[in-house]
Amino acid sequence: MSEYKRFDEKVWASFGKKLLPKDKGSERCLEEQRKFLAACQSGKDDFLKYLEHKGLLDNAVGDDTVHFTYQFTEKEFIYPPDDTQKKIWEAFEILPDEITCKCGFWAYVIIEMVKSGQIRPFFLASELNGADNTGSYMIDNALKSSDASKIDSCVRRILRSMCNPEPRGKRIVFNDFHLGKAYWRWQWADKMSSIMKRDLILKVLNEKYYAEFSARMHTGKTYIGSENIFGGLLLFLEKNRKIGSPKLQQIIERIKYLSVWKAIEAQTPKLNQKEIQEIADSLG
Amino acid sequence: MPDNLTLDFPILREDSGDFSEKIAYEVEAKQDDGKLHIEHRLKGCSFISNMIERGKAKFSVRLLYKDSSERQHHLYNASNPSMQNGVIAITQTITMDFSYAPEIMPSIIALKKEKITVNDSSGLTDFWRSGESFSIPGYARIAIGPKIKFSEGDVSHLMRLINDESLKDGEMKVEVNEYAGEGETPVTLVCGSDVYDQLAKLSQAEPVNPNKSMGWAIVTQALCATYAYMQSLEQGKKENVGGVLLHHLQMLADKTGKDWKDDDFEPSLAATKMHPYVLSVFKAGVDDE
Repeated sequence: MSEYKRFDEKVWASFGKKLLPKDKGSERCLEEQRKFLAACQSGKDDFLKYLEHKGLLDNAVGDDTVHFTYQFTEKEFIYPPDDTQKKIWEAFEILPDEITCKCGFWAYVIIEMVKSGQIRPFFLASELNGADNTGSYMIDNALKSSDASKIDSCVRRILRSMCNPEPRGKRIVFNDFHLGKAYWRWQWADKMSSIMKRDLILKVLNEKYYAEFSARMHTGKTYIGSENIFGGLLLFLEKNRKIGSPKLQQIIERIKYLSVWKAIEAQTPKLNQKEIQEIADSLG
Repeated sequence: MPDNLTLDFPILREDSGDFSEKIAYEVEAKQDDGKLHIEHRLKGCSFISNMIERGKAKFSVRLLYKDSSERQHHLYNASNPSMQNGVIAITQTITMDFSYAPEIMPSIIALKKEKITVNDSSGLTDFWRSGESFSIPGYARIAIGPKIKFSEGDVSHLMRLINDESLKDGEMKVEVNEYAGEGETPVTLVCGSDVYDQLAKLSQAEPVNPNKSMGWAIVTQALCATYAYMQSLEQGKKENVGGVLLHHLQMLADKTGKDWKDDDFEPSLAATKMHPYVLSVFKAGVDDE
């Protein structure tokens, strides 16, 4: 397998751990967090200098790189629309899943994007729920605040945008980190395209449903990641587009119990669609 | 997942109680050059062995590659195996899609709905009366094997084995050299012959299963003794440990949230949290002194 450039997973996790230590709110912790935020706000050179000073940039492993030159706006980076998601996926689809599931790989991608000006460091702090929540505003707000939790929260947001596992675990690649979320939604749609056309899967796996699935497929409920089961779910959702999240969650829970005694992973997607419809009907 | 699901038909699994003691489903796995070799063994005559021989049931595995959450299933599709010397045994060879081994969940699956009438060769206990019937739904798991995990070798860099014949059976001494530098092994397990023999069998190629838990448990005890020793050192000495233990200290903190510098560190708890049954082969050049 080609060795694509990435950061060592332990080194990358340790970087996040040092910014989110156990003594949250202590002077030592706040001082370091402020330095990190200030470097992020200041711009590319200072941000990269900070990362270099922390020994991160020397810990890249691998040789091969992926040619990805897309220039993002801030909003596009946080909420990539479908056509941007497609560009992200097309750039990385040649890579094996074993690489694209790694936090260290995507962290390297993000830092290369900062180096080449594709994103600006303060994008990483962006929320954009409201008009003012740009990354620059969020960092500024945190730095001017004496509220330790505000500073901590901003640091966490940046680390999540860099695909660091410390805030929310390694699963961040699939369901929280912006590029990874986009990539894996398309990757799943492509994987399942023998069952349904990819464009239709992407319509079915809209943001709401994909959030439901990705939260479960990459945590304890990975059983729905089996192709025949996921295929059944997609076929079911295609016929039941208005189903609400609570009911979908109940259905997924019932599938868990079914899979204990029944090898539904061996059943065809069509048969599984039928089973799932029966579950949905029984739930009323 | 619930362990004790009650259904209308019997399922063969460890401690299920429905099947006679002569009936057993065992699975072992090895990895070799990017391939998994999974050996299924169904022992004794039962309605399950009968269904397999007639092609009405098949051996199967579910694989979980944890890091990427990839799930696969593989049915053993070769021609219907038959019983030899009271055992139906087959080996599934599966090419791994990742560079690390998956978790393996073996089972035997009924391919279609089947009605079974209990008789003397059903392999069931007296709980099931002769002449009584039950239905098995299609795709039901009629036998479930234990989950098999290949674990990473986390602590092999830390320990080496020595066989000391002067020690009695069951005895082991844990010697810690806190100054061991890079390339050196800080922890030496000086073992009586029986303990040495048990530990020397542990290898990377074979996954953890209940039968090997004795060896792994001994290693956990050694790890606990090491941590207790490190915790007992004076503060100054704790700051000056050699590179190997220092590296391990970081790993310990990463994995368990605490290390031997913390006031509330519990060596025993930490040892069991540190992947208790994880060990690669002991370093080459195991000594006989």
